[in-house]
Order: sequence, then C-alpha cells, then structure tokens
Amino acid sequence: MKLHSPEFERKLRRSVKTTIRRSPELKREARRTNRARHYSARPLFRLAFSGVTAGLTWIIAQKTGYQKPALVFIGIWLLGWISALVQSLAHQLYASSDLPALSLLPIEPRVILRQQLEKFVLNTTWLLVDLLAMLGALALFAEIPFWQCLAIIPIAILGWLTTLALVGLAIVYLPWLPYPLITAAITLSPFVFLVTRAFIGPALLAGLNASANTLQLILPTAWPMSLFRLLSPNPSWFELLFLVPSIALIFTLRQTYVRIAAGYQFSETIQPESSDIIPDEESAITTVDPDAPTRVGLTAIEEFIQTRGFLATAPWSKEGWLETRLWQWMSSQERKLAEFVFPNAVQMTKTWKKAFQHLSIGLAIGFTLRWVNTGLSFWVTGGAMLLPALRVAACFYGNGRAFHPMFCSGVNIQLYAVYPIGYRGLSRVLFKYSFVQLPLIASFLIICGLVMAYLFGWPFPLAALNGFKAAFFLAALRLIFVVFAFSSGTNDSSRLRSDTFLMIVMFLTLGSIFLGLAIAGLFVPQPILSLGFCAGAMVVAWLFWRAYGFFYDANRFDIMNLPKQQL
Amino acid sequence: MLCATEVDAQRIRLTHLQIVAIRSASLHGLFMKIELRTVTKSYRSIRALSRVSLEFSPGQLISLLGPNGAGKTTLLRCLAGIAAPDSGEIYFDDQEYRRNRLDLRQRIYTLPDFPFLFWDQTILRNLAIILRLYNADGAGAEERVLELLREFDLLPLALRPVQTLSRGQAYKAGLAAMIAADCDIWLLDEPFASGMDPHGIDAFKRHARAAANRGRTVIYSTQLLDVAERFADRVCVIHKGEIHAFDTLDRLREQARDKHNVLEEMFRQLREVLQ
Repeated sequence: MKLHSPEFERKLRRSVKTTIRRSPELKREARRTNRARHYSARPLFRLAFSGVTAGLTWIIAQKTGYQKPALVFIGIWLLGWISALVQSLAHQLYASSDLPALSLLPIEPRVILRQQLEKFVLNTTWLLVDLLAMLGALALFAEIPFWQCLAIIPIAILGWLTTLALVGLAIVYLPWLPYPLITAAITLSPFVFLVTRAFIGPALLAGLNASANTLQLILPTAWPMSLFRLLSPNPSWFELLFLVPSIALIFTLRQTYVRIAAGYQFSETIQPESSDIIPDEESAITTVDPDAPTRVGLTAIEEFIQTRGFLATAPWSKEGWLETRLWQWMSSQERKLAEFVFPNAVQMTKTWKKAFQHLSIGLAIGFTLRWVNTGLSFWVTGGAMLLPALRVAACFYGNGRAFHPMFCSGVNIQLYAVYPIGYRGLSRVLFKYSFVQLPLIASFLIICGLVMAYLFGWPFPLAALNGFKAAFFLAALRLIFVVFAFSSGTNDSSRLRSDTFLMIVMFLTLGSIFLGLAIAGLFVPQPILSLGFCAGAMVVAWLFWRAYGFFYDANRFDIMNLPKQQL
Repeated sequence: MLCATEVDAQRIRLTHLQIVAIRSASLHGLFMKIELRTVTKSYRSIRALSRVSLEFSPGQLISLLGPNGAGKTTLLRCLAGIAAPDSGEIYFDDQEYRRNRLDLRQRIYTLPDFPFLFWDQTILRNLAIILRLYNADGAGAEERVLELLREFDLLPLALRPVQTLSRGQAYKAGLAAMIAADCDIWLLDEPFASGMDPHGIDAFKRHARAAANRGRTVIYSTQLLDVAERFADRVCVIHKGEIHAFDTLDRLREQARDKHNVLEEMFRQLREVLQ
C-alpha cells in the first residue's frame, strides 16, 4: 500500500485552494493563519557544519603529514554519530508524533515501519554530504586527479551504509546503552576540545598518528574509509580487504530490518477479559506488591484493597544497600515523589556490582594482553574502563519516568506535568538519587585514574586526585542535567520574547562559566587552586539550576511541546 | 408533565441549604474560586485565547463548548498550569498561580483526554501513587477505591497493567483516581469522547454532580450539545479564543429564540457569522 501519493495531494491542494478563493471569509482566515512564514536556516547551518568537518580533516592531514590519521578521524567521527542516529531511529519508530495517526489507518505495521525507516534514511543523507566534504578535502590535500576524485562517491556511500548498518545493530542488540548520555557527551566534546586544544590538541594528534593502524583495524566505521588509500599513486592493495567486512556489515541491514519488523507494533492493545490467574509474562512486566494476591479472584482483590495492601509503599530496602540508604535519606514527601519517579523501584546496587565486576575482569584481560601486544592491551584496557563507565553514568544520571512525554491533543506533555509535582521537589529527589552514588562513582573514577597513571606513567597521587575531581565535576553536572530534563518538555527556548532571550543569554553565560571552571578544575596542576575551581563550578551549576527554577515557577513558558508541524 | 430536560434541571438544582453551606465554606477558603483576568494565549500566529476574563464560583458544573480549535483545551491547560498565558493572570482563591504553589496545585486535578498513567503498572498501583501525591491515601481511601472500582467495572482488572486495558477502561482508571483524590477543582478534557461505556458515563455524571454539590468545581470540555444542556450548571461558549457566552442555561434560554435547542441555535449563529 502506498502511503504517499503526490498526484492525490496535488489534486487535494488545488481543490482546497479553489474553495478558499471562493469564500472571502475563508480567504481572510487562511491569510491570518499563514501570515507568519517560517524560513529554516538549517540547511545553511548544516552546510557550514560539513565545511567545518572538511576543514578539520584537512588540518589533521596537514599536521600529521599522512592521510591515515585523517581517515581514522573520519571513522571516529562516524562512530560518534551512531549514538545520535540510534536515538533518532528509536524516536522515528516508536515515538514519532505521526504514529498515532498512522496506526489508525487500515495498513499493516510493516508498511508503517517502512515509511518511518524511509524518513529516517532520508534524514541521514546529510551524513553523506559530510562524508563527501571530508573525503573531498582529503583528496585536495593528496592532490588526487579530478577523475579519480569521483571514486570518493562510492567510498562515501559505503561509509554511510556501514554507519546505518551499525545503527541498526545497536538498536537491535544494544538497546540498553545510555544513548542520550553518550550523545550529550559527544556533543559536548568539541566545545571541551575547543577550550583545551592548547593542552590536549598536540597529544591527541600524536595519539591519533601513533595508533592509526590499530584504530583502522578496530573501528568498523574506519574500514570503508581505508579504501581511499587505493587512490594514492602507490596503492596498497591490502586495503581492498577492508571491503569484505564493510559489505558484510551492510548485509546485516536486511536481518536488522527483519528483526525490527518482527516485534514492531504501534497500536492500542486490547486484551481479552481477565483470567483467574495472572499469566507469568504479565507479572514480569509489572511490579506487583509481594503481598498482592496471586489468584485474581474478586474476593482476593477486594481483600487486598480493604486491608490497604495496595497502598503499601514499594519495598526498596529489598533491592540493596544503596537503595536502603536512599530511602532512609529521603523525607516522607520525597518518598512519595520517588515512588512516582521510579514506579518500578530503583536498581542501583546491582548495577554497581556489575560495573565493578566488568571493570575488574576487563582490566585483568587488558593487563594479561600486555604480554602479547602492548597496543591491543592499551585499547582493551580503555574499553574495559569505558563500557562500565557508560553503564554507571546511565545509573548516576537516571531520571526515572517523571519526564516521559505523553502525546495528548497534538502536544507532548511530560508525565509529571499534570500532577502536583514541583521543580524543587522533583529535582531534590533526583539529586539525592545521584548523590547517594557519589562515593561509588568517586571510587570508580579514582581506580580508572590510577590505571591510567600506571599506563602513562603519571604520578599516582595526582591521578587519584583527578579521579576525585572528575567525580565532583559529574556531581555538579547533575544539576545542569536536571535542568535539561525539565527543559526538554517545555517551549522555553522556542518563543521569540524578551524574557526568552534574556533566559537563553543567561544560561549560555552560566554554562560557559561552568565549563571554564570545570576544565580549569580538572587541568590546573595546583591541587588547592583546582579544588577551588571545582567548588566554583558547583556553585555556578547550582545557580544555573536555581535560575531556571525561577523562570519555571513564574509560569514563563509552557510545560508542553508543540510538535514541529504545528509550529 | 415535565420534559426530560426539566426533570434533569430539577434534579441537579441545589437545595437552599446546600447553597448556603457552599457559600459559607467558600468564604472560609474551603472551596476554590477561580478567576481569569484578561488571559491571552497564542501559538505563534494562532490566537488560542484572546483576553479571556472569567470567574468560576465553587460548587458548579461548567461545560466548555466551542468548535474544534476554539480554545477549550488551551483554557483547561492554562487552568492546569501546563500552558503559560502570554498575558493576563489566573487566580485561585485570589492568589496568583505559580507553579511552586504546591498547596494550590494539590487542589486541582487534571484529566486529559488520554489519562496520564504508568502504562506498565497495574490500576491499583497507579491509584496508590496518585492518591499519595494528592495526600488522599488516608483513612477511608480503601473504601473509596473499592467502591469506585466496583462502580466502573474495574475490580476484576485491578491487578492488570493499564497497557492491557482498552481505551475506555484506561480512562475509567484515570477517572477513578480523580474521584478518589476528590480535589477542589476537576478539569476534564472531553470526558464524553473518552471511549467509556454508557454505564461509565453515567457513573461519572453522578460523581461529578455529587462533587459539585459538595462544593467542588467541575470544568469539562465537550462537543456534545445535548450532554452540555442536561449536565451543566453553567455553559461557557468559546469561539476563536473569545468567550461568546458564559451563563446558566436558564438565562441563555431566556435570550434564545428556540427555547428547546438553545445551544444548537447558538452554534448555528456562530457558524453563520463565520460564513
């Protein structure tokens, strides 16, 4: 079934226009509603962005004097996009605002899936433009003849398809990764680099140059880029071998599609009348009080209600030590909110146990590999620290369910917004949830710091102190992330008003000061001074949170989002 | 012999004692008065509310009527604090609304057209969480919940996750939470287009009427004119963000030419003006 018929739409548009032209009142109304014409500057910004990436590729090639580090940079850059693309695909497939309307049409979910996938793929074509720009810059650097430059088109397409394949694999096999957090970190990294380029720029370039060969082997996004080397005057035909895993990856797209299609459903679920016994799968998806009746007989339910069993609070203490501490730390009002934020109860202790287990196993493997290959050992050790770090970061910055958007009468409203839940109350619960994990995250980062000190030969006390400061910085960042969580469900920055402008300027200023202080805190060698900078960053983060709260409480913006087509 | 509308009108009319009780309670701040002062709200070039000034006294059932896109839902969202007016103020008991006034917010319950519930949690768990948020989980909550679940035919489904219910059943669950919380102000968006069965609609009407009799203010939007005619103490007609009428049906009837179809006539006139 075709979901889009240009001919039909043309006819429809023509007949609507004719009807409007016939009625003066309708003409007036149409003029009134169409008064504000919206022009998007996005394509211009996007083109400028492609230009910047091309410039970066050129600079890397020029500074190192080789193509390989620049090609690896393109691979890393593509890898960085994966997280954002996974988020975008998940949104397109499961949370897009046109899904409720599509699900009402007499069409199969498979057709809806295909339509959504097409939209997603179309949105990613800018990636192709970026790739063409970057490879084009590299071709200019390598002074490749024009007719040979045409070969960068299939290489770019191959790289683009490989990235899409990796996105598909990530959404199918690694849906649990904290993609929003990874995307936020990746988005933040260029700014951090911009500020600290004088300190870390040369080291990064040297590192990239030194490990270009290893990275080319490890990074799947770098495989298709290796084919570019075939365009050089003395090509190494060994590079052609990278075509095999790249094509193999692209072939997984079909399997990914089949797997997504198998479980794809976006429609109202209507179940038959309740049975006498709760089926196992139902009890698995919901948190039922342990004292709740297992047999769903009317009398049993009535008794459960009459004895106030259903009003019993979630037994957090049974989850673990951290959960018990958190529960004890919260006031009675905060516990009510915590129950709303985490209706399935929280799981911190288990996550932390697993993170430390994975860290120790990974480090053991990494250090053992030092006997075999130092380069490989280095990357395995890095991965062993990075993967558990992502898991604990997701746990540390968890927002529960309070900010879950609900689509309602054409707008998205976050779940908490219709209930009597305030900015400060909800923030406090989230702060306590994170800060109870602070000793563990500090320990984790100190261990990572010590391992890095061992690998790079840094002094151990300085590494431990840096781990501690990083934990402090992450705690300060929590305040800012809470603001972002609230802000994501509002129209605070989409209205052209003087107070909106003032708010944006204020937050950009505070954000920049925070970033500056945090970076100074991490990199300034004097311990006392650097701790002072860290404390300053914490104060600025607190100001950031308080200032947003002022605007929020004063009713300065809606706590709902209009979908783009309505704007 | 009285016609059905008159019987309904008589049934819902408050006794003199009830009115005195509500007025005295209102004076003592027990019930909530709502006031909108020249509230304007736009979505880019579309003006959803234009200098709306209204006053809702406690103990009334108010029906918001108007064509699609008239501004009914926006008005409800402004009252709920979800939408922020571009200009003008909203007062609850003569106190300006601010989102940090949790004491005020705990006296308002909003039920959108799709209830905001945790879809993977059971009805009972949702009710427990919501009642606790409204501090309505004290003594007697269990009896109230049991009675409501029975009344809305939800008792056998009480331990089922909301996502396994039909739309009407899910709405009933949201409604049960609202009735059990028993706030001073009930805001409902299209409750009669919520997928509820006739029995559920009837139960809702009974509870809303009883709540109004207790001094609660029930404000709901609807497109069903006959429902609004039978089930409202006051009717508020909005068109293009402006209030075209806000009065009791009796008074609107006095002014209308067609005394039996007063709202239909009003809508016809609005449409004629548009065309």
